[in-house]
Amino acid sequence: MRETASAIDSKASDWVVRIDRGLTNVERKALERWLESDVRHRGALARVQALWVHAERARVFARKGEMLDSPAGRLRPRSLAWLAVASVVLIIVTAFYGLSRYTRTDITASASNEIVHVQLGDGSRVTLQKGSRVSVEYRLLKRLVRLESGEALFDVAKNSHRPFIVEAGDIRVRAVGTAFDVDRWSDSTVDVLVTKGTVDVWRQSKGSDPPLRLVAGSRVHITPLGTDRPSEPQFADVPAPTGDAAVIELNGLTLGQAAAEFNRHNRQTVVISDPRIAAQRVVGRFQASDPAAFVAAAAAMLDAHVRNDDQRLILQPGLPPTKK
Amino acid sequence: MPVLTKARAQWFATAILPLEPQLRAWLRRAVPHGLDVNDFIQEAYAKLAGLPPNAEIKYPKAYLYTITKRLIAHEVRRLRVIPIGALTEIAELEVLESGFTPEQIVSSRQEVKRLHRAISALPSPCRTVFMMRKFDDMSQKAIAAQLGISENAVEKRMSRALRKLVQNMQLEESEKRPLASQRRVVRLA
Repeated sequence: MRETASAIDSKASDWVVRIDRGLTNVERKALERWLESDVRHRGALARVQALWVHAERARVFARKGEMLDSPAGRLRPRSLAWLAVASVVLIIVTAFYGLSRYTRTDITASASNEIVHVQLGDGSRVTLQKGSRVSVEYRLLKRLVRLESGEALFDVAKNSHRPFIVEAGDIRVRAVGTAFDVDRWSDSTVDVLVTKGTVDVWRQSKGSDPPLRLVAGSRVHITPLGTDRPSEPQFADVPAPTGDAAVIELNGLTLGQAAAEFNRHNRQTVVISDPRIAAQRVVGRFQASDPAAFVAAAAAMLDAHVRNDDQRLILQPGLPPTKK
Repeated sequence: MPVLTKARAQWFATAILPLEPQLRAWLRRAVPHGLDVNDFIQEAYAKLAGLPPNAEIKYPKAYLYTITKRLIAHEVRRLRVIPIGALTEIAELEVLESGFTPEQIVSSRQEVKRLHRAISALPSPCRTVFMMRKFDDMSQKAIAAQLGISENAVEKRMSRALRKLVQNMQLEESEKRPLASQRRVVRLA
């Protein structure tokens, strides 16, 4: 009888713990025999060792008893809800463009499995994690982004006259031209990570305290109980964004033009059957390799639906045929 | 030396582990019925672990998928059965390596959260020793002294913690990742 993968994982775990405390000579030989006896043993050991090293990265959340009390610290049983959630679509609200100096835009990434990119009017870019919501207000003297929930990565276009401020509950993050990620756990607990440049972080309710300055590569975890010392820059952990390989940016292209653009990059073709839909103009930013995210966003915006037959993604007007 | 070097384990942790949920989801579709996805994952890791210590993999994702594809193709040949779908799925796979994209940064944060949840879900005696070791850098010996239990007991709890952690991470994956085929179904809310 062939040994199961999970039995192998268990043995590999035992070995990793023994290796960690130091092997005796007898054990060393036993380990070598075990590794020789099945190629999967070697792989399982490598994998569990990687996880063992990897576990250290959760340290940042382990402070202040959070790990022990966290209500999120339970695995939910597998639920059918996921099927429902998976079929919900991303929504992009078209960003206001042009010369207006005061604009307000809401952007939502609903609980789909996708990540949403949006380019804002000033050239800044927001990447929203699923289930996250921001509202963007451009005022005369500042660019204000409210992170209502979830997590977003900001790549801020430089404009020293209008600082870019992110509000997440009581916490504020200010940047001039830089990239950073804000993860709102709750009103008063936020995780900030900087990938480029410098940002200042402070609590609105403690406005008199000097802000905390974060440089690229560092992250900080702010809770009601206090603020962790920012981590040292770790570029292995948090790579700075480089280049924009294979990203398609839609600045008012028609959907038809956008589809043609995606079709140059992919084997699965985007087909837009209705000329009225094809003539609509859109704003957004997508991975060139992910036409599905693009048509899903377009469908949500235009009261259309998508038919997928593996070769093609067909965007059609109207609601999808009912299928639960 | 049968064991991974620290640097290699580090590389696995940052370059390969975060790819695993996606790989697993893909494998669930690609692997012929009746074969265990985990077998392929272990074998792929074995291939990667067998690389010379100085080998530098420029495109870990492409590399990992290429290895896995070959393993499946090999298995399909060995079985002398060609299940409908398996080969087309393999051919369909495209791997685009696009440097560090915002997605990757966000997903690396998600990875840490996933880990956090998996650790939080450990039974408490195991979690305590695990956290003392990993977060407070205490040796197993020191943990035994502090908790007033034997080193053997610490080792047992630690093993149990790690075994559970391996399971929890997989559980999270199957929960968090709808299959790609489901993901493609797009419907208005």
